[in-house]
Amino acid sequence: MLQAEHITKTFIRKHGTVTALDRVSITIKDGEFVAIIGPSGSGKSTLLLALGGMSAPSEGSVIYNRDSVYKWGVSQRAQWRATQVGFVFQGFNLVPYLTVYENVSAGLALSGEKDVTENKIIPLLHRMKIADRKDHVPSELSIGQQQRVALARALVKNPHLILADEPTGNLDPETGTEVMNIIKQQHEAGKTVVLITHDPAMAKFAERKIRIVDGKIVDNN
Amino acid sequence: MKIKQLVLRELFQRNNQLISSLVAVSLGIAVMVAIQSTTYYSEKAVAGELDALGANILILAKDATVQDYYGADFQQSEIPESYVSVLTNSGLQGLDNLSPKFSIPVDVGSRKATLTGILPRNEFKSKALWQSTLGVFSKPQNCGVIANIPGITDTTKTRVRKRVIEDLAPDAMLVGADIAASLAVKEGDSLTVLGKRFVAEAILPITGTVDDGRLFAHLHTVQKLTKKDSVLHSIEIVGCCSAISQGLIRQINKLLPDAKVVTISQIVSTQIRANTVMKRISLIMLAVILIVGGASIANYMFANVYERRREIGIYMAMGANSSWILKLFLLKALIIGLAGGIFGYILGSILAMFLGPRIAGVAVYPLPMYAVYSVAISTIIAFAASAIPAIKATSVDPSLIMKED
Repeated sequence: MLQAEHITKTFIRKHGTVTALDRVSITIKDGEFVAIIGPSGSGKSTLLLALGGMSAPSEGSVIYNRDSVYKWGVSQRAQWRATQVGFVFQGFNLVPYLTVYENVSAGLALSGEKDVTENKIIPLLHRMKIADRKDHVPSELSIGQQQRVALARALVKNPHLILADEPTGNLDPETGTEVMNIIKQQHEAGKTVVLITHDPAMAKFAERKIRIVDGKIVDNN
Repeated sequence: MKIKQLVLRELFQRNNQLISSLVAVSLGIAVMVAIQSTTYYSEKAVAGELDALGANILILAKDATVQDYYGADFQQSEIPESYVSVLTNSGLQGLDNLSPKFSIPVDVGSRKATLTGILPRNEFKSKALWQSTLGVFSKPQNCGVIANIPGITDTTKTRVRKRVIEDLAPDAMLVGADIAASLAVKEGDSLTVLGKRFVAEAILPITGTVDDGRLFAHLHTVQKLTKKDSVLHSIEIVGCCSAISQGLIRQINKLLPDAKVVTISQIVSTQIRANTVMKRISLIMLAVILIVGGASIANYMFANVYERRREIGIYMAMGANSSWILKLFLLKALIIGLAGGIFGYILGSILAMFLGPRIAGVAVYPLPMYAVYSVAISTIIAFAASAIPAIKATSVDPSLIMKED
């Protein structure tokens, strides 16, 4: 179970202090598919980073299976992300000088997996329909293919928790639906999915929606 | 995908900045190697010229006086012949040639002369540590003269002298130029000295020293004739000038506390001055490399970390911890350091080989030990310059990366 308990996140800017998250509390059960929706600048991505152990809240705590994530050391949090969490981003964030195969295998290598072999990577690339592009660098791929590589990189280590930040934001509706179907399959396989989106059509894939506006939860059903 | 592959791939993909950084380090190392190599051979040549003057260390009895360096072996006081074996077995570095001498005044015909007993090479052949000992006229083999340096080495003359010294028989004698002229002695003539008949094996060339008025015979022959077994008047040493400057005299004094050890101070001080100047130049070059090369690498690494903030954030999201990120950049520094050292060494050696004969007038050859120094210095500089950027990389805020989306 993943919980945010009264988390507040503030940033100090030139013009003053900006509150991105204001005493946010949510609970995401194991195996649940939750969509966090809201307009741009509402604090969705900040919440996702906090849930993923990437950005410590100014106040409050993030609990994963009864452990406070930010009471762990930096290395322990890194280890948790490496083995339990798969991040997917709107901008794909593929390493531009690595091939498709290398991008995916880097995800597996960082998880501490000793046996980084083709047997673990190639079948996944086939499932993602990008096996024929395995030796291509990201700039040689279409936008949809790049997002599928990013998904493959997140999924190759078989994480329990998938945190997706606007994964379809840069995709056309058809490709976006393809990507969401892949994420849905992961949920059906028992994984916990947190999806950040401002697109109501994509949010429909989730079991539950949490609406956030100006850093506050306004709807949590 | 191992971290090493990741670093190499990134290096080759974004090589523009890398090349300029590598060129700065390589050039710095190259200049240092070129100066050091030229200096090394130049010092050798200077040392060779100085050593060619002859023996530069004398070992005498404690109460001996030294009014004339070249005639200093002509003393009343004696030292034990065992000093020679003490020195040869001591393992002291820089003793290139030992020449034990025993000298007595003699009458030859109507002239007064000095008969000097020396040890020829053949007596030393069976003793490994004495292999370089050729006798009074030999030149140093290990530190002074580099083979075939134009204008410095006279190999023909050396060969003739070696032949004469090596072939010196118990009844053979070498005759100084001056005394040979006054007695009208030619090679092959007989001479009677102290009641023993000698054959003039060779007439020595004019040296302009007291040796011109001397007769040289086998040391043991002279000792036997004078009934003075196992004693000497002096031991002449051709010592490496660099070794002398590094304290060889002090070491000999420690080894033979009952003897007097003297040297030609001008020769030593000349060498020390030359060494000091070269060392200062090298230090200046090292400082330049540290500043220019280090600044170039640091600049490159800072830019690289800035450019790769998003990538670093992605690695963090994928589970990379601080030590992994640190390793990513320090491994890169290691590769730059190694490459800079190797390129710099090769370039520097080529420069030295080309410029050495033109600038310093000496032939210069690559010195493998400088390859090790080059790589070590370059790597240390690369590491030092990359340390702060690498640490900075570990503190990249991933939330900022998300905002760039």
